[in-house]
Amino acid sequence: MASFSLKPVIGQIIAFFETPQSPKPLGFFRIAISLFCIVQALLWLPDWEAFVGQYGWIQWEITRALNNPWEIHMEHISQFLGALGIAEEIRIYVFFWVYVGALGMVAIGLLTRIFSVISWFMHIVVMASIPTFFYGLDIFVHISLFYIMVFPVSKAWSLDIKLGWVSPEATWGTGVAIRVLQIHMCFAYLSAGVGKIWNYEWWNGDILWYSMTHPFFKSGVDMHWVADYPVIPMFLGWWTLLIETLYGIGMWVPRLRVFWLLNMIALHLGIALFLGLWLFAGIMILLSVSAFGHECLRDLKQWKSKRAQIAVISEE
Amino acid sequence: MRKFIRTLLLLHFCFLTMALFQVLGKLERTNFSYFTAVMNDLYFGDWSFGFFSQKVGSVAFERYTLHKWDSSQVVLDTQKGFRYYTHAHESYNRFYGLSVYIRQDTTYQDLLSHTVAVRMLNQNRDAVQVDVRLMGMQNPSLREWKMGKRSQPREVYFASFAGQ
Repeated sequence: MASFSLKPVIGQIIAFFETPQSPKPLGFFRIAISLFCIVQALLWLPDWEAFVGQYGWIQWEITRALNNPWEIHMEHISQFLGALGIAEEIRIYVFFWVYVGALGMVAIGLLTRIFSVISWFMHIVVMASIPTFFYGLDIFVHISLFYIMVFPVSKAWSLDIKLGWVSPEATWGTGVAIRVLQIHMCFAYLSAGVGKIWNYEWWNGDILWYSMTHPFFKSGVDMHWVADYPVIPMFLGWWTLLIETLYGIGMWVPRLRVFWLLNMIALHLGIALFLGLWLFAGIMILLSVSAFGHECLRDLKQWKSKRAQIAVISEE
Repeated sequence: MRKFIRTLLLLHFCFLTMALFQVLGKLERTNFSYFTAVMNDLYFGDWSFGFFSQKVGSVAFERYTLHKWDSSQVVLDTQKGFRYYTHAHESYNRFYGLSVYIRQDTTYQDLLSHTVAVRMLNQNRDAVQVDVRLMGMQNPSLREWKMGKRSQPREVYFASFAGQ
């Protein structure tokens, strides 16, 4: 009787995760996300007080009431900075610049682990201080900062390597990190796609119509002309469902990967253009490129070398 | 060390799978919710990524009427371009979340309208009273629009706050 053993399957799963991979994608991920967060923060600076200040749009006593009791709020940070003798009106700005500084250190890769923990922690404080204002952008930033904190992201293009504090060698840890990021993105898009499938308005084009003409997301271009061409929002809806739901398949098939990544980028550029959600689109593109960009590059190189070989053979 | 990382990974993916299949929402009122709240703080582990999967055809506008000392009035209406004094489009985008929050239930409507009104009065020192109006409307669908249907916002919430 043939016996079935799980060992080879487990072995394959372990090999899939733990085969050492170049740490360069992780270096790209670290630099891209930290620079992105700096840009996001600087755009936010003129309105910083209105969002996280004690007497901002939503006052601290209310935002604290909306939080879990253990969450560190800006008020706690303010009390701490007050104990250090820092004037009340500049405390939220001290916090801001420490956050940006920590992100800068992560970007250049100096004492990366320490500053990534600081950045992640400070982002928790920001999130806890704006519970009514955060959206998908902040959630993906937070997920990214968490991964930067736990992944070996300083193994490429960092000062930690130059100073000899970190080895640039590919290890099983770099393999695990890249796989986790890739699978998380597949989960995210599968969930987003499946969530949309059950809503018939995604199938008949209404969601795209609403989004394009939603007064809040006015992009500066009047999109009501789309009503004369209902096939456009309908097609775009189907395309979104396909690209998001099957992301987890498209990104693993070498022949499809580049096409899928380009479609994802196009999808998010569309979101940026029509909904004005530029930063949200930016982080989603960076995450997909960080997770699968290196494999797309490898596919392109292989495709190019195959083309060259074919050209040589046909010349002969 | 490897075994520890593998165990963490297994837990991580189990958690993501539960979020994906909306299992975590069903455990919201159990002791498990403390665990999910901590995981949320760590990396938003229980978020199910359903961006724009729900209805987006409903629209809310906020209209603030500032009554000044000299009995004049200033109307600040998000339908007519009022952007909460934000300096960047990305900052204004955050108010979409606020409007969704405010519409969720009446407790939030009172609480958040009150705090926004306080800010309004602090920003406009010559104002003595601010009226907060929340206007809601359902945008016509593509076919309804083609048939000529147009929607007008109707008032869904009103409160008046006086400064001291």
